[in-house]
Amino acid sequence: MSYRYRNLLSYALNCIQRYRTRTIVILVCLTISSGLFASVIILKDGLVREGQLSLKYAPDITVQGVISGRPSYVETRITERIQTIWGVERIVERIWGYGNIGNTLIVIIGVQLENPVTDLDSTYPLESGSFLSAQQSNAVVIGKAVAELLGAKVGDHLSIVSESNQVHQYSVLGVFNSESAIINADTILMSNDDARSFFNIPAGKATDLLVYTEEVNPALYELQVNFVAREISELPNVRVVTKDIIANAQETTYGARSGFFSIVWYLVLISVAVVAFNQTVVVGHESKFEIGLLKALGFSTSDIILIRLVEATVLGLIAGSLGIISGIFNIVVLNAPILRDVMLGWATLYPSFRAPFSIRLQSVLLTYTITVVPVIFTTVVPSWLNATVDPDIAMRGARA
Amino acid sequence: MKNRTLIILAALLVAIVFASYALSEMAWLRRERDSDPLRRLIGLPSLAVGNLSPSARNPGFELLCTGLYDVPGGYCNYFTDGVPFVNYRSGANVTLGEIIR
Repeated sequence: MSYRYRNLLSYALNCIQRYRTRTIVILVCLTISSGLFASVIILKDGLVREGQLSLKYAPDITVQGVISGRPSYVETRITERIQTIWGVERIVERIWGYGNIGNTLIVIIGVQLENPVTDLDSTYPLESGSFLSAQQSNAVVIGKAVAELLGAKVGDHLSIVSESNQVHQYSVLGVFNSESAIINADTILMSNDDARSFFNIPAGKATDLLVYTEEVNPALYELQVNFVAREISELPNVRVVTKDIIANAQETTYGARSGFFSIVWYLVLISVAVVAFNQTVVVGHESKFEIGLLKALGFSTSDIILIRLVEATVLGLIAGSLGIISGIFNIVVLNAPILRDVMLGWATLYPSFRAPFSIRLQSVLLTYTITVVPVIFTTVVPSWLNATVDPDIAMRGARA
Repeated sequence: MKNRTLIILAALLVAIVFASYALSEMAWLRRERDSDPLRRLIGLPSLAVGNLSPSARNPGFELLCTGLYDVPGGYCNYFTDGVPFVNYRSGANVTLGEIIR
């Protein structure tokens, strides 16, 4: 670095320390606004990514039943017709629904234990006990929140009254761990037969059908899925949802919610820009004399702009970094208080799980950009206006 | 504060941010690479953000519910025998104890 540029850098850094009030005001305001933005974007990215992870294992097509435009059970006899469609690999009947424990809702999901989609001996995220097996009936694996709510542990017996006022008894085989709580905290898993009996679903019907297509070249995947989906939608009383539709819906869900927060953030940013501009103007009166003096000593307009540019960039980088770090702290350590409710819904009871988070490069760069650019704008523009004035006039004006 | 300290502070803060990004990405890549038999077995689990009464649900979920009807854990279409958001108790419909023969 040339001697000239080193001096300009040194001068710019000195300015940050000299105008202490302005520095502190800008740093505090920008840290708060970028911290709020970073919190939202880190939580939103975490939720979207968690959803995408689920989609990775999701069926290519979900077939739901519809009667009079309302959701209904799907007839399982259509599986024979679907199986004949080109590109279909396998179809799984799924039975699931909701149940109450006191005034708390839980999800009850039936699992196809005969010829399952994946090996039942795989490693499941269990805290204690074991997973379901085809040999055992009236057995359940429960989520962490359900276990905590009931005080249940492996080996205990649960008696649940269903909607049809029948008592169903199950033994607790396993309890899911807290790491996987985001997908199973409020879940009770049992065999499909047990779930059918619990919900009193007649034979020949299922909650939905999961259709898996054959593996093809990724370039042909969308064509194949759309073809199968179109063929299935020709069948009566069905509604077809593809993986892509679910992905878009998830992205929109969390995107729309974080969009609401982004608007709030923009308002905060505008206030920060106004504060920064105000501070620059106030200090600008003082610095007007300084700029005049610098110009009289031989500094060019571009030198003065460069000084302010370095000053604003360093301030913006420090504030942006502090904001991102505080955002990470808010999500990772504090588990996103307030934000979690806003992003997920204002519920009276939540299963306890860690708020998912993801720190993406584009989010980091975006936070820096929207932190540094306004400071540069509100700092450089006034100094450029001052620097274009004749030094003598500038110094006299500042003294006046 | 010396100029050098200011530069080091700025660089250190930026380094912490990028280190956090690297750690987060590595953790996600590991999760995405590892198999998840539970998600595969269930089909499509929604995020377990449960117990959402319709009046308190995130409006975003309404969009998800309208688009998909419902997914496990979505709580889009359910019928309760009360209104949970006014602290209604539906009685002891679950008991923990011995199997009754």
